[in-house]
Amino acid sequence: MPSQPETQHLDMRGFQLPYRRAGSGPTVLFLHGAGGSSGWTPWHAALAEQVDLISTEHPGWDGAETPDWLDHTTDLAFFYLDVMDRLDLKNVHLVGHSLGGWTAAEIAIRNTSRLASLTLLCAVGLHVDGMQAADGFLLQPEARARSLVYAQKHVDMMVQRALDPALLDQNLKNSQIAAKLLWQPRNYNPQLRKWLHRIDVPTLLLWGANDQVAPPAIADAYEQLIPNTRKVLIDECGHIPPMEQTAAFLSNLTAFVKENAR
Amino acid sequence: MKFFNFHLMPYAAADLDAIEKNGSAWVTFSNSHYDPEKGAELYHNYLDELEYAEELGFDGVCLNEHHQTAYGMMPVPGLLAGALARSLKKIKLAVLGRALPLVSNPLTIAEEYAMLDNLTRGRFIAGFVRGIGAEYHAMGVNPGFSHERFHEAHDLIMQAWTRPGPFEFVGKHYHMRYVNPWPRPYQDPHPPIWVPSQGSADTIRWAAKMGYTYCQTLSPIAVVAGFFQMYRDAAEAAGRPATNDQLAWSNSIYIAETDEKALREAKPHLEALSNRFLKMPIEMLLPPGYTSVESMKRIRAAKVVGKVQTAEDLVNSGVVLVGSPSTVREKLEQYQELAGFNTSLTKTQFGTMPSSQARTNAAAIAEEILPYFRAKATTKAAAE
Repeated sequence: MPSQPETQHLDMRGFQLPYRRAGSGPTVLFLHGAGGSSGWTPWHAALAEQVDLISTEHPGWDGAETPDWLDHTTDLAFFYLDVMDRLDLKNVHLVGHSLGGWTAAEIAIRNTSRLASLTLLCAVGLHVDGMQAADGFLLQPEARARSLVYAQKHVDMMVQRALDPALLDQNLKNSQIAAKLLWQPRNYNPQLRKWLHRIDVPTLLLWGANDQVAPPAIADAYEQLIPNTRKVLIDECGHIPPMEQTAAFLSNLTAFVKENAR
Repeated sequence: MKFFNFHLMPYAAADLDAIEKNGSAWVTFSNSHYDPEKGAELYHNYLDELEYAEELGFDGVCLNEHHQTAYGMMPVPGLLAGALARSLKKIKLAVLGRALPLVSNPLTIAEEYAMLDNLTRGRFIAGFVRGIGAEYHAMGVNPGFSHERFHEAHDLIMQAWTRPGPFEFVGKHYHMRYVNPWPRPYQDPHPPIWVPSQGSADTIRWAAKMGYTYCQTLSPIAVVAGFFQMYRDAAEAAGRPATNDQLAWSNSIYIAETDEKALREAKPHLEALSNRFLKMPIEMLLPPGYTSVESMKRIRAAKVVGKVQTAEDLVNSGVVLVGSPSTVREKLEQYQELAGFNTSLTKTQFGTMPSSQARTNAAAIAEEILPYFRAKATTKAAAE
């Protein structure tokens, strides 16, 4: 396994974006979800063995400062369009998890000229009538952990992480910026569905079959609205496939990236 | 000292066990538990109690705003204030307050308050609050913009009251091509502004800087004293030293012939308020962004949210005043000395207390407590 890459900072008009980059091959830009980047974990390392992986910490999350221009998920989308320009990335495989998936969709409806493919991983961003989604802002730690994962063995670890005093500052910071982007309308942009037909790159909808936060009904809606999609549901898996079903997540993602590499 | 009769208008008919089972009386406590016949009865009883407060000699009455909860049945306090604006002939009428960030157009609040100020011929007091965290769950408003919206809405309302219209207002959250509300406030330049808070340092300092009256919600008196000192210090620093007339303490008072009898009679209703109607998980009380990470940590570390409190706890820590007339007089005098405030916002009904009991309590307070502090204020004024 390659050693953990150093965190670098990209100067974006004065804002310093923290990111890590490792590996070679097709470039994957990974946009994390509302819980934060989790740093560089074993699945990041495994993915970086097969691709050129760029993993950022969004403005406002983890080690990144909170800029005053960040009020809406569309702000984050325009920011990452700037990031791709700044790094002059070409043929990018854009992968977004949860809130990052919504952001990736907002990016792709605006401009796909730097993209080779799009992967929405348990993405939010759309509302589906009748859908029952867990309210992560109201649930208490244990119930919230249960809503995020399928297997009980992960619940204890998630609760521990949620209550760990050493992580308190970071968890509170992440939840503050997450609320700003997700609270109202809850986890979606009503305008997004009007423009998803514009996405002209192959799109993978990779989902936990048991996701309670972004129920698979959202994957169905993206499937109907985006022209060229492949939908894969991962069994016995909640909202965090990279953690809960690492092998299935990696194999589906890397196969799709290689198929669509330019 | 001035005494205002503060009513929360709880749904006193609530099934307390059902609240306990649900974990809170707020947001998720199903409104299928609301019985309109009982609710209508309560509304009329409560309005009668506030009208009785004028008869009894209170200096004013207070209403407030909460949403989707059995804790208080006043999602639209202006409606009840409108009714009271006609029936109260002498005393002040305060709405403490409207929660400014919850509305998409704060001009509606400028209009409503100006109407109330006209209807009362200038006996209206305008309360501005952010609303507690639960309102942000209940009303679909982003807590992350709560501070920004509060300050921007405040600016819009104050301009609407003091600048000749029409003019344009362009903020981050509110964009009004025409600001020109009719009516204008009756009081010149505008009604007094009162700012209630649970004790947010930001709010206290801001109220002090603006010269607005600060109202401290239910807290132990030692904590209240600290907050009031923070206010005086901030006012001093802002170059506009405060008097105790700018500080109001929100409490509950219950008196009976003896301390024991008073405690026995008040206990179930105090505990219903404290441990049922007020109960909510921290996720509901403090949604992310509602307050800073630092404040959030302080409140979590204090571990007071959700703590069960007996009536004895509430009495001993000086959150409420319960006892014989002499006990309550002595304690209130001592608390006033300690914390420094000239207004008592007093609930005479709380929790599940039936109206007959609340009226007896209010009458006893009017007879035994009010005259003592009124005479004291007069003596003090004469001495000065």
